[in-house]
Amino acid sequence: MSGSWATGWATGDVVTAAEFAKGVGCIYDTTLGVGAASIDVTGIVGSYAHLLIVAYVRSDTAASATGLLTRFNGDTGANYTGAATSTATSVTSGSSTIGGIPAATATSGLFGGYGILVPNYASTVGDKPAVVFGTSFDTGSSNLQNAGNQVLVNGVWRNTSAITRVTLSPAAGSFVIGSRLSIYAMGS
Amino acid sequence: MTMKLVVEPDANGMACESWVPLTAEDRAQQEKDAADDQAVRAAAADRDAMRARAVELATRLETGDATADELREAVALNLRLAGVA
Repeated sequence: MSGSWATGWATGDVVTAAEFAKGVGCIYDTTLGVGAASIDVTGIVGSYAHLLIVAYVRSDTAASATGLLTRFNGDTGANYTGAATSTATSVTSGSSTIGGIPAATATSGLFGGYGILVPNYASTVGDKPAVVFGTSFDTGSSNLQNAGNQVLVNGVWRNTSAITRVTLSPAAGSFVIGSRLSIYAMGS
Repeated sequence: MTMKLVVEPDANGMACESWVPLTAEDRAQQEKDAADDQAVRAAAADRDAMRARAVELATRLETGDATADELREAVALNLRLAGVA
C-alpha cells in the first residue's frame, strides 16, 4: 500500500518517487576546514519547490562585525531590496547584505546563525522574495542589529530567472574555519 | 593566498567542491563590498546617535526645561528619523 504525506504513513507503506520528492532533503552541506572568501554553490537544479539556506558563519576581518552577503546567480548588481525589522523605516535598495556576523575582535567562539527561505526559487514568472531570520552578537551582550546589521529581513531579488546559484560571502575578510553552509530543497 | 570555495555538480549531479584563488574581479568586488558595508555601518551609527539625542530632548521637553532651539532640534531630528526630512 502506498502512503502519502497528506494521508500519513504506516508500516509497510511503499513510498513512491513522486511522494518522496515532496519531502525535504539536503542538497549541499559543508563545514570549512580552512578559511574561504566566499562559498559559491552552482548548478542548483530547479525541480524542487523552495530552498532553505542555513549559514553558521564568522569573518576573520579585523573588526567586531561585518556584513553577510547573499547573492543569487552571481548577480552583484543593485537588484536586491530589503527592509529590516530592526530599522522598520529603512529599506535598503541594491544591497545584498542580509545581516551582520561576528568578526575577528568579537568574543571568541561567537558565530552568526542565519536561515534564508526562498519560496518558489525556480519560478521564471516573478521576482524572488527571501525571508531571512538570524541571530548575531559580537560581544555576547551587544546585538549586531544595533550596529547596522539587519537580523530579520524581508528581501527580494528583482529578477525573474530561476535561481541556480547561491553565493555567500562576508562583506570583508573570509569566513573562518568552522563556518558551515547547508542548503535544503523542500518539496517538488 | 585567499581562496574561495566553488561547488559545481559533477557528471552524476553530485556537489563537487574545489578551492579557487580569487580573481582580480573578485578582489575588486570584495573591496566594493567592504566599502558599502562601512557606509551602512556609518549610517546606522548616525541613526543611533540621532535616536539617543532625540530621547535626551524628549526628556527635557517633558520636564519643561527645553529651550526654543532644543524644541526646533527635536522636531528636525524626529522628522529625519521618520524619513520625512
